[in-house]
Amino acid sequence: MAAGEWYSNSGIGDANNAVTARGIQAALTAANKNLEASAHPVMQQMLARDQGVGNMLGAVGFGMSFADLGSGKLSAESEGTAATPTNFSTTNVAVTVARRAFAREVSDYARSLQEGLLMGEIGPTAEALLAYEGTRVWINSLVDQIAALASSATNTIGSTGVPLTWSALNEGILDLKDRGAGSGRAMALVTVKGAKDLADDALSLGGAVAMAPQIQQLLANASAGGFVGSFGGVDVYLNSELDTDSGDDLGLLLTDGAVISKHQTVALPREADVLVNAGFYSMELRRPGGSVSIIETVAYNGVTIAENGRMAAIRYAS
Amino acid sequence: MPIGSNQTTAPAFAAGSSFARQDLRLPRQRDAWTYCVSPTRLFCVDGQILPELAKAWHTPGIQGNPAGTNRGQGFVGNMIAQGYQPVPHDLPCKAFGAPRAGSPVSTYLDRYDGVSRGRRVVYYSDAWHRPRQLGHLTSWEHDRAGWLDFLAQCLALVSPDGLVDLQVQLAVAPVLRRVRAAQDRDDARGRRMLGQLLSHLPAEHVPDDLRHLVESEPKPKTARRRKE
Repeated sequence: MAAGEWYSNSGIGDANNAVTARGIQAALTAANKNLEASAHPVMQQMLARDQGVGNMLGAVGFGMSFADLGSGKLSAESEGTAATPTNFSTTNVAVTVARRAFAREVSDYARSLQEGLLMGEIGPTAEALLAYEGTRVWINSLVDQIAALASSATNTIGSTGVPLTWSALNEGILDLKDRGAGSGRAMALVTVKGAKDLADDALSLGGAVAMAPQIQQLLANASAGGFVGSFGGVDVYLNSELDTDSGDDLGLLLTDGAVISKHQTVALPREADVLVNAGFYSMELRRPGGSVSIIETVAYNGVTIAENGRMAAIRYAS
Repeated sequence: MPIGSNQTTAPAFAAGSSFARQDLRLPRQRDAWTYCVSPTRLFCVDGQILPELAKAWHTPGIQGNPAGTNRGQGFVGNMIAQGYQPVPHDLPCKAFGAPRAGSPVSTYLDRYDGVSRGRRVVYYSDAWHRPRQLGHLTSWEHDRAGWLDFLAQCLALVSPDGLVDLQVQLAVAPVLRRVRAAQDRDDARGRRMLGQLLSHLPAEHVPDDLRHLVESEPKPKTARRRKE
């Protein structure tokens, strides 16, 4: 595959090869797994909440205060004694939004020669191809941003320098429940090494664990994409955006409300040639001259850890 | 085909020309970060209690970072609020046996330019990992001893007078729990896990009933017999 812009002699078409015309379809990529992770209810809830608060106004960030409500107790007071008011306390977090962009360049000539070769989900036009890619690029970025938060998570499941075990994951889930976060949906992102560790461990344990339905589903889900299985109520997905640290992989366990995102919906002006305006991101066609189009995908977003108690890093030997 | 009048350069697949230079293959794009160290986020590694550093990424839009070029001010500010201290980018340290003073990016970060999945990327790595290109693959050398020394330096920033009992307990207790879980298993994997976990625990915290596993006596030497 020739690298470069999509011109007649470079990019995806390679029309210089006069042997034969070739169909063009999207290549397999490990980033496919991001689609499944982003479709999990924990991520969807984050995005729904993101949009639910509306657009930012007059500031380049969005703040959230977590008020300590519901953790106190009544105190014994004698009759005739007024209770002393308890001060409110809050923890504040802020999401700052930054512009992210990704662009492609397509020449008119290449399009005229090769657009008819586009197949599958990227056909039948260059616009379809780029709209498809824009969505993927936005999702990849979002998952990558969230995965980057693992190294600053306060709670850790597993230990440095040793494989991930069934027991360590179970303990981590129990710790999560103990922090009060064990109600609602949960998801985890692990590398393939972590998933193999879990599978090996479960099988070596034998007995009830190896025979458990959740292990059986793990063994027979080659068609389930990046979804590994649901263990202890945590939907575990393979992911390739995770970071490494000190010879360990850093996975991530998330529950509802662990992470917040904020996207600013930026309306493109009337003079812009809009390809896609999806709210979370937009795509614009530009004509810089030279018979080419530049298609730019832009999102204005940010992510931050909302409550550390609702998440944990998953650490195991790489 | 020999290089003739209508062909001025060697074909791209011929060795020895500028075409033969390979771009460094990198895993992906990775931004720079500032390490943050906490006196209460500790782990046991290779028999030492050392800090588990957190990366405060410099990426705009993550964990409070403002838009535009920044050095992770927002992220670092968030970490400071949680009791962390940023590790200065000029902390004198060594990697692969050489002092890092005067390094262009930071004493503990290096910047690499290369390609990933056909696209040009910038990849920041800690100074104790360095890439070596092997054909179309890249292997990463790791200076583990240097890295552990750096962690000890970071710990000294937040605990200059040594560790108090609570810190030791925070580091040791999770490993001891994993040790007990591995000990409860009666299979080869459990024994292997036990050995790995014990190798990370400081010797003085190895449970008495497992001490024999880490203090095995040296094997008696057998005299080599010369073949007649």
